Amino acid sequence: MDTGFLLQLALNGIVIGLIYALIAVGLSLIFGVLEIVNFAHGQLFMLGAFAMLLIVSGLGLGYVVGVVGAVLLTGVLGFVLYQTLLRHLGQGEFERGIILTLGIGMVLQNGTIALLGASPNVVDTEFAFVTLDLAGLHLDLQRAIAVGLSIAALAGLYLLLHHTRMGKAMRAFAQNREAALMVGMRPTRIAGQAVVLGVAFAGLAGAALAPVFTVHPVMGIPILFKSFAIVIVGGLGHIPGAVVAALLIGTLESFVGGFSSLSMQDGVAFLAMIAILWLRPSGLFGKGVRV
Amino acid sequence: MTVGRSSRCLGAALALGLLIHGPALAEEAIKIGMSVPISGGVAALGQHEQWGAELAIAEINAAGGILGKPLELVVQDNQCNPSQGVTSIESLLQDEVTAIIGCLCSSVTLAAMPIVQRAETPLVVGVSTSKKITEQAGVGGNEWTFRINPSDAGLAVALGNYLGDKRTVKTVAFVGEDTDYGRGGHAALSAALEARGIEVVSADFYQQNTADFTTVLTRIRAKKPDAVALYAIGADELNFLRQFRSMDIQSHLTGRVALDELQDTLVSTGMLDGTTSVFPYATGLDSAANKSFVEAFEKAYGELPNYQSFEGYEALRVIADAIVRAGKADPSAVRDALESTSFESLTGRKIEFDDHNQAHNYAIILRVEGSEIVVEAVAGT
Repeated sequence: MDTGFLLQLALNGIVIGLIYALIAVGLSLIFGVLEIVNFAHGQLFMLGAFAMLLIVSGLGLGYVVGVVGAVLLTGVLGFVLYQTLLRHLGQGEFERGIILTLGIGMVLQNGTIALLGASPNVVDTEFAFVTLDLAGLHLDLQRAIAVGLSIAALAGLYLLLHHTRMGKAMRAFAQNREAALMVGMRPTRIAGQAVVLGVAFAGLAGAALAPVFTVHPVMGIPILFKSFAIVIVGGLGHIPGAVVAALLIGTLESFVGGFSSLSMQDGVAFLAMIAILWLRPSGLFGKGVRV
Repeated sequence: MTVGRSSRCLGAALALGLLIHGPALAEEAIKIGMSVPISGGVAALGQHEQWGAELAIAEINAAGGILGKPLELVVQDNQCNPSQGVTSIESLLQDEVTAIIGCLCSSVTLAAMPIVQRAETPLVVGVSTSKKITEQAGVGGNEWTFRINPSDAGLAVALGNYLGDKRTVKTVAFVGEDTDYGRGGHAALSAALEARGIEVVSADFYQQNTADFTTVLTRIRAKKPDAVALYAIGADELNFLRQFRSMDIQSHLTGRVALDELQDTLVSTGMLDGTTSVFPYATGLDSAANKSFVEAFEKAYGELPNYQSFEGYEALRVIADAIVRAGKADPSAVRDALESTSFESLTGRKIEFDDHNQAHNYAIILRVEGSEIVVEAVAGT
């Protein structure tokens, strides 16, 4: 097998892995702090893509305005969702959280269909159909930009979590809720910040991918399920774990798809999830199950 | 107290409304049901099939209706999903429709067929192309299903012959949706191509709503088949084609590329130049009947008609013709009348059903040239 093909598969895998990471990290962050599995995450990703569509194709503004606008809009939506709905979930109401977020997702998805129609849309930015040639390897420019945004956002998140009070508080909450409460941290405020941040990450992913994929109201569903698999493999609530798992699954998919078929490629993330649940139920990096 | 009074007022108003409008309309109009996706990834196609049928109804009603009554279309959403499809058919049956048009997606049509058979209501299929529908209809056991469009088998033979005659294509990589449409298309096309000495070197099936096709395209790019045959629709097709083009793959693009739908997004940009496709319909079909249809459709809906709008229009007219010949809007009598249909299609071909209730309209080979869709050849099926 020629090395060019192998390197191309590896590059494709890392690229899609970094894109998955952006979505999985938001999911993991919200779970880590609130212990809510956000089933509306795929639809929030979709709204980020629609925000990009409306700003770039609708208003004719550029790529940068589109991305910033999408992040701000979804961030605000995250704030509203937290204040009006998620805030009222009590400790240990795990099932209620699932039903609530599923419902939010349905409202967002069908609301979008009702307002904007179900047809697929294309976002053509100034960077469309430019292919980079990296020593014989091909990379679409818009994907390269999406990956750049992903790396920047993940690095930003790392700095935030490790070097700011807000980030440290979130980590403290994720590590030990009771102890964090005991030293006087305010749970609603920290949880609200985590939701805004997690939702804005989904919005950023949607905006970054809108020019790469077609934008339509059900685009968030397959990618949400894949993100669940990634978050479970990495360890629920473990953010670096989600990034590592996203890269692993992206690369695994690329190689499996490169040497077998699309059907195998689609299944491999879930096979990995099943294997992890069997061998290491708390994920690659997860903390032990708390009793 | 106020609640009671206002709800009683509402009830009275509703009853009054029913007295004035309800029964009069319900008795007069002949109801035709339609089950199509009007939400989900292929909603735009369902919308077009509905528009086509509505245009036919508007024309028939403007000319005085049939049997002295107007026609009415009742539409239910099937989301291109078999279980939702079953629900949609059941609600149409509760509405006591005379016949049903549906269901756009092959998997949904196959799920609906046993239900219309049990309910003894005719189903006229206009868009789904799976070969299984023909196999199961007519002498295949389901006497209530009729199909006016060619099946995958008919279309594949036409495309296989066209590619075989070109002699430049020796190897084909197949990519299709993982549904009855894609799987059936693969079986039919493989057989048709092998009969002409063309080898199908790989087959990939993707889940609906797949966004990223990089891996399969990387593999195709490395293997360099002479042609790629695509059986995809809606958002997925748009995703695949944009990525196909951005990866600069040199293989000839063919299969069931829905060129009509891609007119505004890809065809007009020249990105699909050289692509060939086989479809039962083309907007540019050169016949007087088609030209006036295209004109009327564009005037009514502001868009050009596509394959779905054409089939919605034809299916409705075939049913109306059967109702007239049956002399009454009774499902069973209409079924019997459908069997002896001999109705001239907009393509110029007569729609007549064989013992599998399958009509044999033309297959049209299309090609994109200079950002325009041209009719390359017209073949029987």
